[in-house]
Amino acid sequence: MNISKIFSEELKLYAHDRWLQASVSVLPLVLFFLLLNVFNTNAIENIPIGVVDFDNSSISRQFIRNCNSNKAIKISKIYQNEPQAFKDLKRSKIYALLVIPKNMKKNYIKGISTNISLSYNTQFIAVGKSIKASISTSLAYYNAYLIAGKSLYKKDTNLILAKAQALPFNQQITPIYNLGLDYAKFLLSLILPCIWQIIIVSSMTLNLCTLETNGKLFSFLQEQTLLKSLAKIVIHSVFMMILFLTFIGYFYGYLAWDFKGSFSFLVLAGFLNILASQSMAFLFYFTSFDRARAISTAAAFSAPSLAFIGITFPYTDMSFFAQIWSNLLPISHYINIQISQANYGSNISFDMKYIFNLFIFIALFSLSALCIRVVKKRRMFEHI
Amino acid sequence: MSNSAILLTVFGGALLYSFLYPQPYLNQLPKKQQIALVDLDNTAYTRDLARKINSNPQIKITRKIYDKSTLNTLMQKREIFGYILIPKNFTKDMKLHKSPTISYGGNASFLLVYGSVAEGIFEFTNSLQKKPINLSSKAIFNPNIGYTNYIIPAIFILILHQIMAIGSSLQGATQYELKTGYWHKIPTFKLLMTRNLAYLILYLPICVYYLGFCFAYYDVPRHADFNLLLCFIILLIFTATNLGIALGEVLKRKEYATFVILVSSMPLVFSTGFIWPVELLPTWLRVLVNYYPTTPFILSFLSLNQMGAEFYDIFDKFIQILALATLYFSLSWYLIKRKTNANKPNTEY
Repeated sequence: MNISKIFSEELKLYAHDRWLQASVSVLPLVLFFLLLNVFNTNAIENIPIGVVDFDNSSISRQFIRNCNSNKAIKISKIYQNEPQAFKDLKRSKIYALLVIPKNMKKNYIKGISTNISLSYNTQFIAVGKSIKASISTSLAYYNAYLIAGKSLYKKDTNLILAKAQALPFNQQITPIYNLGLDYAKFLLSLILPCIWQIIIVSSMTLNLCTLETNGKLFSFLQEQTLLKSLAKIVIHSVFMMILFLTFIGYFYGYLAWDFKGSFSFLVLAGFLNILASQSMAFLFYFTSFDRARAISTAAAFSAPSLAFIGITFPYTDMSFFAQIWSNLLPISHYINIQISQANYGSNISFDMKYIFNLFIFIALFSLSALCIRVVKKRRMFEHI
Repeated sequence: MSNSAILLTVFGGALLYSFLYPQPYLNQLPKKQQIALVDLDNTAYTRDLARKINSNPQIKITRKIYDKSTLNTLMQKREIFGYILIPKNFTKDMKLHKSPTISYGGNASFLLVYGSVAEGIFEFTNSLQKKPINLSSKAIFNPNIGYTNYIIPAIFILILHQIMAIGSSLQGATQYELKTGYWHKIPTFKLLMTRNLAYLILYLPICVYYLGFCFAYYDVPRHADFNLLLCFIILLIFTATNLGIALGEVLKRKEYATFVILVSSMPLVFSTGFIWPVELLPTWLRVLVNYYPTTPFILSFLSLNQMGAEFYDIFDKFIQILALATLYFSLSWYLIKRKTNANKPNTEY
């Protein structure tokens, strides 16, 4: 068979196998769409919390109103007592409980400090932390208001800039290299690449599985293995590249997120990540020659990438084994380039080490070639 | 159960994940983050202030620099996560009541780290001031705010469910490919019940290993009542098994079910509600994910085991679980029945 015949055969495979087709087109797009919808609110907002107000004075009510005006939280219920509120905490109907003690107003007039208590649910860490930050901010403003005894600052809620007048000095906390300090954006910029890698590895594995189900494994191994593999890699890469351009185009084009570095370099990194991930799929299939085992390994390998990518939970704080696993995932190396190009605008030479790492994965194609050679030599495939 | 690939997938996968998945979080919270101090004032007061900031549990000053220009390089190389900048004449301005500003800059590419460092600094500065109202906050259900307690309980339920579903889908699909065997000779209901029983025996040790041994090993609290938990596990196995059987019947080839379960995992993680609150999900998505068993299972498990809820607290989720169990059981029953009927006239196999 000549080259064009081999490529058209490969295209026909996608045309005839609905599942394979979906795995590289509709399905990943549906996944992207679902996740974009999960995070379509951007920031954590309107989280229900409860209040027990034992003081019930103008001061305490004003404070509750102030907290409620905070975007992140919503006072969903005023409880009469704590046990009642704790029941709802356990049912996750509310995520935190604020208890205002008696004599808050009296203390304020006398110039004594009052302690209010906040119990916040840290089983859901992100939510809990965001509640705590919001209450702290509201409180800082309210304290400033009480101290100054004048009207409250009209300012949107930002955990960062609480300016209490009585402070000996001010503080300014600045996020650097951020995406607008937005938790949803932060997660999305990591989740979509991870899903993309899952798709590359698993859809390539599915593709290789068709060799067996279509009865083509024998001829694949027997003749023009290299060229046929190349056809698989090239055509699959085109699909994967389209997916890649879809999500980075959506991020840095449509949503216009900050991008400081070289876009073409990121595209190159994306392309290398495709090859690196395909190389893993080849390895999974040609070391086992078993469909169930290949796809299961692909699943085990790629499914937890987000946890190991080293950004949500920093790489340097991970255990030794976690660091090893992190390095075994092509996407961890890719994501470093994405962050450094998008957020830092680093010099390309700075990212060369990650590019080099991706090439190591790509070099593993040779290991698959070796497996194929061994199987061929021993004519182990003839029973298949 | 003759297919060794199934056993390998299920037991191998379960073992691997029980070891692998908690690894990133074993050090619990991100450790003290390394930051640089840029003290342009460098007086006795600022040095003392720096010492006080350094005593904060979330940060550690590892470098003192007197030149701002190296900061970006250090941050991009990840040698530091942020810096504290004390401006020139800080002490003097303070004495003049000019309220000088200390600034903290943190690498927000690592948003969670940034958040905890910012929180530490915010609290520190706040503590210097006498205020009319103080906040004493208490983290409940996960008092150390540890990542293991946060991620492991929910993810383990998800992993268990997905692995069990994959396992039972593989068998159905494998048999579908073989086209003939004992499963054609037995009445559908009996076949399905036998299969469920087999999976129960197979999966029960895995669940006990995950929720018992692993939880103890990783020091995750176990508040749930034992009998209730056992009941919960049996329902989890039953639902996952039947979902897997149904998927295996629908998708026909063994690699497809694994593929579908694999790619669905990530959207499920984020729409279940333990990372990102369900309150923020669009209604249609909230409804949709509630048809997938992991949603009620994870949420009720967190309530029971991590938050010490009682059975009646999760009664609504329990009803949902029963409904889903029935739904997936009926679905597998229907699909197997349809297949057997379709194959009956063909006796040539």
